[in-house]
Amino acid sequence: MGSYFSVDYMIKAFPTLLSYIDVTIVVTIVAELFGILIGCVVAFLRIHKVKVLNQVCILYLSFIRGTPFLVQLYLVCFGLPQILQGLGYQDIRSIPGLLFVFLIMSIHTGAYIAEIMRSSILAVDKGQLEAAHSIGMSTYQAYIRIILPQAFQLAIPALGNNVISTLKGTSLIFNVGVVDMLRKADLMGSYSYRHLELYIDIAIIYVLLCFVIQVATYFLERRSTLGKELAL
Amino acid sequence: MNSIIDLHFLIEMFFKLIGYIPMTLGLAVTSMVLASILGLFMMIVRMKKIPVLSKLVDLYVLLGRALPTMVILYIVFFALPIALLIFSEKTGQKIEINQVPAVVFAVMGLTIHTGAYLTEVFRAAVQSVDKGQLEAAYSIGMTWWQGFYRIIFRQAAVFAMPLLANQFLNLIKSTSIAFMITVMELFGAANVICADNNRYLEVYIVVALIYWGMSILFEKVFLVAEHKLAAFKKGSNL
Repeated sequence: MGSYFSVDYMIKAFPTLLSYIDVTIVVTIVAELFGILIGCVVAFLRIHKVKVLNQVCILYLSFIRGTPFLVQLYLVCFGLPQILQGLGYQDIRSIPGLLFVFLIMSIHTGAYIAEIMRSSILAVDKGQLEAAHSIGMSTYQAYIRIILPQAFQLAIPALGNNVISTLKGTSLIFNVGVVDMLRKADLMGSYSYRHLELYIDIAIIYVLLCFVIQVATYFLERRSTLGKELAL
Repeated sequence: MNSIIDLHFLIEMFFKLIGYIPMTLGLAVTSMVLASILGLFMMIVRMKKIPVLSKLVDLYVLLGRALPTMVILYIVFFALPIALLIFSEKTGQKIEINQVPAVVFAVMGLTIHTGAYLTEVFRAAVQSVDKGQLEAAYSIGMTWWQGFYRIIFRQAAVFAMPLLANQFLNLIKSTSIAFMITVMELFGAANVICADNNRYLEVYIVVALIYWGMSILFEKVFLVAEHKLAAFKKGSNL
């Protein structure tokens, strides 16, 4: 069986693949940060039923949740340049591909976080907003100081899951020319003809990353509930 | 390239790509059925706490949920030929790996992926049924299997329905990844057309719209099914 599966090669290739982990992590973090921003805004618009924008948000959520991420990725990474070209912007090659990836990952993650934030904000007692109004805060102040901190606390487990699915989503970005672990494995595999070992390495890396996020979420959650118990 | 979007081309593509919907849905339905069987089996192993096997199931659920579909598909795609090679070497039987269509790999990969999620769904569903129900079934002389099949399973199915629907919607979207291992489904076909015509925007818009339409349609269908099933729910007056 040694000729079919080489453990030596698997171990040897592991550090090389691991060195490409930064792309995955950076994309995940950027997508999450912008996703949370978009999610909070969309959740606010939907809860307060702002005219027109509410309908736009519903359409946005439905589209993102109804189409595969891969299609969205291709639509932005190959379709958007065509639009730009049509508008007269010819210098497309100078835009780094990673920018398009950041854009669509943030938009994609934002839709899922919007639903998480919406349910978390609704779970915060309504009286809190009224109390904030009664002492003269504006709605914006009340959200930043009172509602959102509490909503985030409630949202921690769901956000943790969302980070994991975003991380898993990053496994698709190599399709549009970003050199990450999977692309590197592809390249190395075409030299050594040992794809399986390389992909098992990648599987191990992904499981480790998921594990780290899981543990981090657990501790964050425990810390936040600990504070709550003390406060009561 | 005069206009940004060529409407004629868009409509032409729409009718061309509609033909690939059966392939996508076929992939999704086959994987869903197989994954349900797999998930049910895994769940029973877990419930009955069969020594070594139940630990293996735990590992499978962990891996199946932690790994991206892409990675699972690639591992299946590259591991299976090797497994077949070893098999034919050991037994002396010749199996041509080239004769196995890529769809088989795709279905296997998607089944493994979805099966892990369904194991958890079924576990949650069975746990939602009162424990006393099984004890009551024992008390009137049913065996475990009878109690499980006649009493627990049916109640759990009502609970699991929305979760299953959700999983199926996810699965439809996941099938787009199968094009990576050369399966010609909706998205794969779209990419071929793109390469032929060198126009990306229209084709991907059409693909997105088709997926969107499918998602909305199935969401509505499942909603109706849920309402029908709600009559069997605990505490309902009907």
